[in-house]
Amino acid sequence: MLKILHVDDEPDIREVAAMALGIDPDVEVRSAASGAEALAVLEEGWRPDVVLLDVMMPALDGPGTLKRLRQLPDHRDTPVIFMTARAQAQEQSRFLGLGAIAVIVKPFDPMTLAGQVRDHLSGAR
Amino acid sequence: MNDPLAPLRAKFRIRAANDLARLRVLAADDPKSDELRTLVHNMAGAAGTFGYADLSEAAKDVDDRYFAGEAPEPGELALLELRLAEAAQAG
Repeated sequence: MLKILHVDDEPDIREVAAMALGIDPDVEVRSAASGAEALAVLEEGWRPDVVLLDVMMPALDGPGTLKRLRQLPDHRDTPVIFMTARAQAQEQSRFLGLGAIAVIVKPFDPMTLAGQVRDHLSGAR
Repeated sequence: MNDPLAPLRAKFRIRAANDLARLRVLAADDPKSDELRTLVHNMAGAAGTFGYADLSEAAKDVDDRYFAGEAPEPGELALLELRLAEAAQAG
């Protein structure tokens, strides 16, 4: 079972990702509407195999959430994939430099999202 | 063939109509407002996910302007309005 924590402030995106990922019987997905909510999910003990993290969110953005996540003892090495509408190579390089294993550019194909995540996880191992 | 995303696409079309109305108000008031920037950025990321690639591209063009610290051209906003209207009316 692949456990995914998907973090995005946009309800439409959370809904479509949860629906599409949920079609895969080997995926368990939880959604969070903010960086703070994601950290709360992790602090309560849920251990995802990967975190899909939106970059631009109000209050605590994706990079800020990643920084806080790395301070949690159980999540120093949890793979994180940023999701962003900013597709420029230099921006993607910056996101990878922050410690993400990959960047998925929005818009994304919901029906292939689980496969993309698996591919990135395989590539990171 | 059953499209599992059909209900969410229908919901997105309602959002497109609402965003179109909001965009018109915000653009007339201040084309560089934070609220308009957020609306455009979110639309750039979301529209293509629901199958509206042309709308996503139009929003990305405006979003790129904002990230460059520029105001969008009137024609770019007009195209975004058109694409939002098309998405809102799509069946």
